[in-house]
Amino acid sequence: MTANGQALDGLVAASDPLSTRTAFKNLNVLTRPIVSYAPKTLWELDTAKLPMSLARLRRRARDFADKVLVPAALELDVTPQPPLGQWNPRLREVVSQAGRRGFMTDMVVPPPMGTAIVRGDRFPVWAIAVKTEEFSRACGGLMLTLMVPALGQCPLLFSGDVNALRRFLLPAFREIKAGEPHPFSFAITEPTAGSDVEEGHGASVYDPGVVAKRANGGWLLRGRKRFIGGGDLSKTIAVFAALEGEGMESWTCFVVQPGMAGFKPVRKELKMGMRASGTAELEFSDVFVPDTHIVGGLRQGWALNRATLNFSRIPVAGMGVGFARAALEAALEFACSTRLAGKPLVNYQEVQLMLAQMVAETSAIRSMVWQQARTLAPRQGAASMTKLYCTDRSLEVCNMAMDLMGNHSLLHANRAEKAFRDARLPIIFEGTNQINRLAVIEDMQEEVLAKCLP
Amino acid sequence: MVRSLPTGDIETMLKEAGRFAHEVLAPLVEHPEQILPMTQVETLTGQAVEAGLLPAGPEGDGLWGKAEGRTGFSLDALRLLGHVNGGVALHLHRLALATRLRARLGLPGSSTAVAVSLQGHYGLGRQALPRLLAGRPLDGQDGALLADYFDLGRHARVVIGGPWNALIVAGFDGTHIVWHEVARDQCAVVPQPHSHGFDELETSTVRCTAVAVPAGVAGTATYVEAFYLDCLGLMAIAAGLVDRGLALARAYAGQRRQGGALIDSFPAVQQMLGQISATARTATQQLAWFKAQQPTPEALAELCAVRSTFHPACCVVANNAMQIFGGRGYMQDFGVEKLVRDANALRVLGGTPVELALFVAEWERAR
Repeated sequence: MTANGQALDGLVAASDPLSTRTAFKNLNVLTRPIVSYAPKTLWELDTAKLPMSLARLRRRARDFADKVLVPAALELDVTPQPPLGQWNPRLREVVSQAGRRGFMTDMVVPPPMGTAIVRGDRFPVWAIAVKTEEFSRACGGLMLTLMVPALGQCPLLFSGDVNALRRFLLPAFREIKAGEPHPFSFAITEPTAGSDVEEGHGASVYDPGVVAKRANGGWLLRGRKRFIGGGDLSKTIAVFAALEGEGMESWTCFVVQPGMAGFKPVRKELKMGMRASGTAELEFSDVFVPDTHIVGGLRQGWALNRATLNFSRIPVAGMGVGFARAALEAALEFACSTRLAGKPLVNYQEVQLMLAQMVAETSAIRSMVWQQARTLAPRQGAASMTKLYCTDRSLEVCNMAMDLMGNHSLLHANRAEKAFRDARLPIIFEGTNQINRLAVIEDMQEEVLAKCLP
Repeated sequence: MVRSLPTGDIETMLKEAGRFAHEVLAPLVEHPEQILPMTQVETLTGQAVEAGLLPAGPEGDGLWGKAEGRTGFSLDALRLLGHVNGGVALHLHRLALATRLRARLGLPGSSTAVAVSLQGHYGLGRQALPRLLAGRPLDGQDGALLADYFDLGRHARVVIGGPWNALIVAGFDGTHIVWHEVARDQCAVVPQPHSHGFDELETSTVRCTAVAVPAGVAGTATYVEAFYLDCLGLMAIAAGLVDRGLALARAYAGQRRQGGALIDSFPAVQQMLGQISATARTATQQLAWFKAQQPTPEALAELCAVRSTFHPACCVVANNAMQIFGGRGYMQDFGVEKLVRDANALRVLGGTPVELALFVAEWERAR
């Protein structure tokens, strides 16, 4: 990386005696190694800070994103969703390639069943957050298609239910690694309940929208689930339902699969962004689910749901980092390729200021994600604060990019507006950021209450 | 058939504008997920003339009409229209502006499908444009920057509008702003489908080597007026979007329950509703102030300052409206996500907040 003696307006060239690059090289031989450094890209600098296995993952994920996701992103963003249950062929190919390269079986299960690298420095949440950043930076809709299955796998993994793993996860992993898509979904949201199913206070008074009624050898599920990522294509859906006559505390996780009588995806949503990924409403009309499809036991659903959200909200924050980076990169490209009065925009101070702010914001939220992801068991408060802060700031970076690009930011081909539309969703899903703020306080209640005591 | 309206009767004109907005336009856009076809926008243009919203000719009345006191009508009418559909409001606003410009400049064009391009290819001409518009001397760098900024042959501009076959465009002859009207077929027009916001309009990038400087009609003072009226129109339309967001969010929050209670009783939602309402009220006060102003250079600087904070606020509250809807807000059929995109587009049209702030700072520097 060299600038060949050139400098942006208002700044000294790296070869100038006043540049730190040059000045540091002239220091004493003992101090030089401490302060001097070679130029590197921001991405290289950040990657170097990761544990080795995660750095390797980040490189692989970026390579995959650049070669497979970026070329498909704009097309899939504007192509109407195919009818329910049908794949867009290009999307299917992306999913197939991701599966073959081990990106959809690498959460925690090591080879030969899965593709996870199990090492002391490879925290699963961190690994997923690294992937969500790289994939989101390429395309929100494709990222969601590739990452939602991990969400659907979580209840199965957290259940510790060997039967569920053997019965549902391992055969699916075999398909995925062979290039045959096997999407998983996580079905908690109901038509009249978004936030109620994501926080305890609301759930305590909510009438469950999907109810399981006892039948011979199993349960009959009735009701609807809404806004289910990849729901119409999913081959394994973790459906949460309350037991008949009981409240949300009876929530149980059932595995529903296409072809079960009474199960039907009924519609797909028309979304603002993340449009490569289908979002479906699912109908359950007395769907018979055998006892063997219960995950983790009766009345364990609420705990599995909350554990899943604690696990997934930090990677959702990672999505925010990816969208911020997408916006930043789009703005930087524009600032270098667009000229005003004979020179690229990046030479103007107001443009440099905006870019620097975007770099700082993106770096700050990435630091938060990586700091909070360094754990095996994310706490509710940590997961929620990371999710709400990073996704909010991410949208602000998208706004900055659009402001930098002016009315050119409205053009789809320039990608900044797509980053905005994609970045807007994580502020709503996995609990609105308002609900996540309350989750932070809820999780520190003991500390708060102790201060309230006389 | 052009229906004549009693001139001076603002109340009557506004009533007619309201009828057009609610009885003609609203039924056509009641499904926000379905984009209003361009042919329908064309039909609406004719109906807007009949409703007295658009001037029937250079001497006609309506939005940005020639008579005194029409600024107030224009702002109220555009806010009403923006409440129903931002794209159609922008289209009618720019058409009316084009008619006024033609009359003011004596441009020979007669096409009723006309677009206006006031901005150069990027930003607001940094320090040079405010210096020019304030009547201050330009140095060599200013002149070079403005020549490049307005050079439609070298740089593509973003043009947003309804169906158009003629473009009124601002240029620079080294001393003054000059105006041209060029036919679409003289330009290299690249439609930009799937652009952010104003789905019902055409967004395109346009270059035109046929625009010969200094052959245009000189008119820096007219540029001040046109830029002022354009910015005012954008602000009124944004206020309409805020009104719409408030109405939608309030209605939804008043019937949606969470945790057993209506969500409009929760402080988390009340904060957002309150912020939307505060922005709508602020818009009313600010627009009322501008109703009493003439399009002078000082009023333009005032307006740029106001817009630099008003449009970001509009974007925040459009996002608040979406947030109140939760997951539904992200879906096209509820109409809130379109408000967010249209508000974003209004923020970057006619100068972004950063560019407007620089414009104002440079304007005030010489005081």
